[in-house]
Amino acid sequence: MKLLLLVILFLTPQFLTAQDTLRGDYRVILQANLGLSQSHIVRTTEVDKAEYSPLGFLRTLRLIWRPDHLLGMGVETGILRVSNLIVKQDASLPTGTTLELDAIPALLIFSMEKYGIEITSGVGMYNYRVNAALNDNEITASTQWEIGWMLGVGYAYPISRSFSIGGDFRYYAIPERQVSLTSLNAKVQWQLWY
Amino acid sequence: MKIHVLFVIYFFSGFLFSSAQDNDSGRVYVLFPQEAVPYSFSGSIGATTTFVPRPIAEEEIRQIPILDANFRYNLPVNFALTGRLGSNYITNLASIGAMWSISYRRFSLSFGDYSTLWYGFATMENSFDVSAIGWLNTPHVSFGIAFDEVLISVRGELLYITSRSTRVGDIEIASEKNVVAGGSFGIYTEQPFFRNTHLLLGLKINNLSNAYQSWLAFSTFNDRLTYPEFMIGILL
Amino acid sequence: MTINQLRSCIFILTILLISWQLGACNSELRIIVPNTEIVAPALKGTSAIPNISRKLIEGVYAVQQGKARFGDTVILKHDRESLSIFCQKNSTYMVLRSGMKDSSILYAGYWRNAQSPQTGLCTLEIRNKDGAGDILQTIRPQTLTIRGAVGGSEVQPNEPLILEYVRPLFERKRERTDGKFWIIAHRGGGRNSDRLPFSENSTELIKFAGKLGANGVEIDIRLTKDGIPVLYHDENLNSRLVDGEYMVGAIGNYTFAQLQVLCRLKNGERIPTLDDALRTIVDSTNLTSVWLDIKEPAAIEKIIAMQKTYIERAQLLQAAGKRDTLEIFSGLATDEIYQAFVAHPEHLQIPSICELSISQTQKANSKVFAPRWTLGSLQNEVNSLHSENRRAFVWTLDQPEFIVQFLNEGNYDGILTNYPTVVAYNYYIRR
Repeated sequence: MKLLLLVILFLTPQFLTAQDTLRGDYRVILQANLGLSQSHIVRTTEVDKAEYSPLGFLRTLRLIWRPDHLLGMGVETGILRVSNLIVKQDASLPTGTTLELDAIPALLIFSMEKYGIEITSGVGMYNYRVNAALNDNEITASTQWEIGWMLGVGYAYPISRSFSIGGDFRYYAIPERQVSLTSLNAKVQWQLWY
Repeated sequence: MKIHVLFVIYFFSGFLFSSAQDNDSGRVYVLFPQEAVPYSFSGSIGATTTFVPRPIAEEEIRQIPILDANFRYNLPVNFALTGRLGSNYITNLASIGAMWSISYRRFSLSFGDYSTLWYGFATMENSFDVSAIGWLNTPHVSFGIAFDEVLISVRGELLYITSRSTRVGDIEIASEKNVVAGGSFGIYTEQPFFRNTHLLLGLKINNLSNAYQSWLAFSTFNDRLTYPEFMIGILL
Repeated sequence: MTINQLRSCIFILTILLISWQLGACNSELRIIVPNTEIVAPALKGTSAIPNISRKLIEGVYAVQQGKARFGDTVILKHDRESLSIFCQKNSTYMVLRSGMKDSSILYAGYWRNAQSPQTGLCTLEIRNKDGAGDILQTIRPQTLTIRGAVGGSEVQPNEPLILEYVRPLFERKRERTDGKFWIIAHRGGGRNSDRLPFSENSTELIKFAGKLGANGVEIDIRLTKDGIPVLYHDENLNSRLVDGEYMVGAIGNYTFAQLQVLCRLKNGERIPTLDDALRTIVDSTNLTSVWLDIKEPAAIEKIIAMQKTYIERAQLLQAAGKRDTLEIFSGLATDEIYQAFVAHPEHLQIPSICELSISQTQKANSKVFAPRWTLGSLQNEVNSLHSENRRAFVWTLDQPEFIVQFLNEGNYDGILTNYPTVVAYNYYIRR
């Protein structure tokens, strides 16, 4: 999958004609992303019968400062659903117990963009959080900050001077929790300042 | 003795015939393995953060970035002197070394070595002092590709502990000499950023035992662990 | 120019993916114990060695062959049915299962270095003519020789090892403290970073602590959300100590039932309650002291109640001749814990270990004062405590050279350590 993506990216420039992008001192870009993610997690919780889902929606926002060269810098936050477990039957946990695992990234990102193709690398902290709701309405919410990073590659097509739409593929990692997420997202990009 | 004299002559002769100048391509770099105009200087200032593995850091150790500066002074025949100074108050280090480069078109290769003297000290919760000092020797090889103004280097390093000593108060509690601590693999980009500034970004994967980054963990177990290191700097 | 920039993006992406892959080799620590199934057939068809015979085997041995790996002398000591060998060199030790067959005594197990990943398998035998015949008839033999082989962790051992009995184990004689010396294993036996076969602060490790040469354990106590004292060191549930993808944040945010279902210690065990741990110590070990490292003042009341229950239980078993004496101490490591402890109406009668100061030790009527090892041997202070019929344990001493120094120069009654095997060697080798 990763290899295929790289091959496509290598070939793409050969079919593109160079076009000058708007050149100023800098641009500030706000990006909103909505996507579907799949988590890759070392599962150790043993519940007799449960409905487990590693799939989730990913909602993120990015603010990127793009100076007059290739490299841009910014911040990213949002909500990543890591996994969801609903207990159907277990000797020790009440039926209907739900366990939701989310991560809120607070990442410093570095991004390089050409012809609308953008690669992003980020490092920072994730506010990792669990919500455990037992059917007797006892809710345990607990959070912890964890170090992590991300990598993304995407494409944005300009539909006006200020707006672009596109999509991207991302990989988020929280090594301390042995968790990673891959996601496919749609994105809307707005040039706030140029 | 003769070698030293030759070295001094070689080192200073350039001042007689040329002055420091920017390298001709307009590229700005400190780690990129390409040779540069003799007697020119480049450097970077920034920060490096290492994430020490939880199994040895436990909950007590908090990572504080090291503020650091890299230097490079280019010499004739593709040689360069390299150096680094870094400190986060608790851990302090100074490196000096040399490298030799060779380039072909956009590709560059360099071989080098640097020695690091590091010193760490802290006062623990129960008001006792701990300190550590060590000498490291690091041979390295770098490969670089220049995409116009974007310079990308990949560097492999071997970390050799010449000596290391950890003390609690006046008591030496651990020491070692002449051991290979492990190695690291790093990727660095040096490229223009805003107007005339250039940015250095790096990611390094270390596989090390008893490196200076984790001295405060006082690990008593002799084994190598993998941990990442991030670097950011503004090129001078 | 622009194509080049795009190429640079792609090149960086490729390298980052490679780095990610390298970085993904996370620093999870795996236990270091070889597969002993390879040597298990050596014990096939054997029966248990009588306790009295086991005692005759214990002692200081000279290494006749195998000095390169184990040094000149080793200590042999049993913990129930298993034999432990503590070596002079490289903090090496062996843990072996035992059995007897046809007037021979057989052992099979493994060796490892306490402070590095080196390990391997081992088999030993005491033949009839080498002394086993006498030992099984409970007679001390004139000479006692143990022969066997050691090797790597994947194959049958083939490097010869020969041990020859020299003298009995050292025992400290001092009336004041029952002549005992306490080798107290930190976190129930050692930290997870020491790669022991069981997780730190687990009942399984506590049962194993005797095989590491310990006669006492230190364990860490925290409270769950529903107020149950459990064994756990860190404030948070983290990858160093537990597996459990839904375990995030402070252990005190979870009920005990949630922890039982959703969380396992690193080597698969459950987080034990203090109740489980103390029952295990009383009923299933020969340990003679327990140091409860209390992490939360709110736990004091419950801990004291349990301390009383299990001290009584141990006394009953002792009266019935089923176990040795057992002491259970509340550990007073911080001012907060100390204040909560002395506020308890029965604190003067409850055995405690005070880490703070001698005056606070006296005020709380703590049986033991426990200074940090970096404070030195504190000879005068320790002697003065002895005159008050109190003891002194030093913590946490891990460097072999300092263990030797404290044993030789200090007058402490016990050492808290992550390496009880090293303390055991250096204690029992003394004359």
